[in-house]
Amino acid sequence: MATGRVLCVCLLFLSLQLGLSWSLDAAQQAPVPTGQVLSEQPKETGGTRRPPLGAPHPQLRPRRAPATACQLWSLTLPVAELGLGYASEEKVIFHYCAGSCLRGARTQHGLMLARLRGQGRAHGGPCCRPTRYADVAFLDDRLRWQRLPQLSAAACGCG
Amino acid sequence: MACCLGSALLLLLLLLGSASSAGQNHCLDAAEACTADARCQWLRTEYVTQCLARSASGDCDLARCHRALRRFFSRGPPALTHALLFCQCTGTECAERRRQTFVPACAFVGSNPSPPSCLEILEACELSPVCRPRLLAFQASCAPAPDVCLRGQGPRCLRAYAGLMGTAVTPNYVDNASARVAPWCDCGVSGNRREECESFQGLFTRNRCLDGAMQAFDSGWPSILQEQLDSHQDPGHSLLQISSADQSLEGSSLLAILSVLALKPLL
Repeated sequence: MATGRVLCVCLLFLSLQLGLSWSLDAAQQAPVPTGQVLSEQPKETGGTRRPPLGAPHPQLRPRRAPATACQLWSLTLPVAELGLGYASEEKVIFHYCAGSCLRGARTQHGLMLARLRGQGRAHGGPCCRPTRYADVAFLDDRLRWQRLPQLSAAACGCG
Repeated sequence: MACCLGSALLLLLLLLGSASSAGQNHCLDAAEACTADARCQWLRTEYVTQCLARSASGDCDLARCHRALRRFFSRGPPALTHALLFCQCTGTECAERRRQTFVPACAFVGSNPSPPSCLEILEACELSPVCRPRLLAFQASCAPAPDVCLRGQGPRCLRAYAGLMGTAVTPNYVDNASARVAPWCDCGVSGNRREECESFQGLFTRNRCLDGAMQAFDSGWPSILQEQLDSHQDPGHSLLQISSADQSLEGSSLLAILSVLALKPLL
């Protein structure tokens, strides 16, 4: 009876642990908007914008068509999930751009395109895309450094 | 009865201990903590890029590599950069990762397939406006006098050691079986200056203060990373990090509470 109780306790903790790690993983994989934070690199002044203080809370499932404006999002991925054939225990942060570009096209072309699209004369409008890229590096399972140049987005813009 | 209780406790300890998915490899944990921080990640990718770049002759650009390494330690968040440098290891894989972390093929070995004389690199350091003050700071904090270890100097000693990374006397872990560190040099050809040579080498290989400081670093491990997570300036990233840290803390305390409650009737 005592052993049965111990077994029950162990099973309870196992299920708790599994449930906890699942929710942890899910939370980690949810994309998180990071504002324009990656545009402020060390010693690169340029135009920096502070991220909005009310950054949205990470959700468990991202919506299909984000209603927010074009901004930088981040996703934490194990290296294997990059699908590039590398094997490593490390996780990398993949930044990408997503959002609507109804307003705030920052190039001449984008502004014109948005106007023409509003008039129904252009097939598409300005799209949210990276304006700068960043490299990603990690140590693989054979403990050799691998570098993926320009893999991740560093800043976003409507163009 | 007692053995069943013991195995239950062991299982509990394992579960509580492995609340994070990274497990026991502290160096891997440190790498992930650095990746999660925007500044650390950028500086890390930068030194890897500079130290992997090969010229036409096949050599790496040592000056660029060293400069990027110095920037990593001077501009990166100290808690994260030191965690990468001083992570403690029990297994070979962890130790090999630790040995490879700062691209030793370029930064450590450089263009010398066999180690030069320690006197040679010592002289190069004393002539360098970058290396000389750092070496003096290292000697002052980690070896002020023979067999003297000042109390409370641990963090300063580690900071001074990190300052040597990317200089003419860049040290590294020498193998994947111990925590011994040394610069890439030996005392084979030192003639009548052998004692001087070995005394310099001993600053790294026979330094009680440095060894003690490195071991003491590990014991402050979880609090250092937690401080880093709390003091993070980046709201977007910090939202993600703090929420996952809170969940893991909540989870472990929940398990702890439940374990106490559940085991009470068994005792």
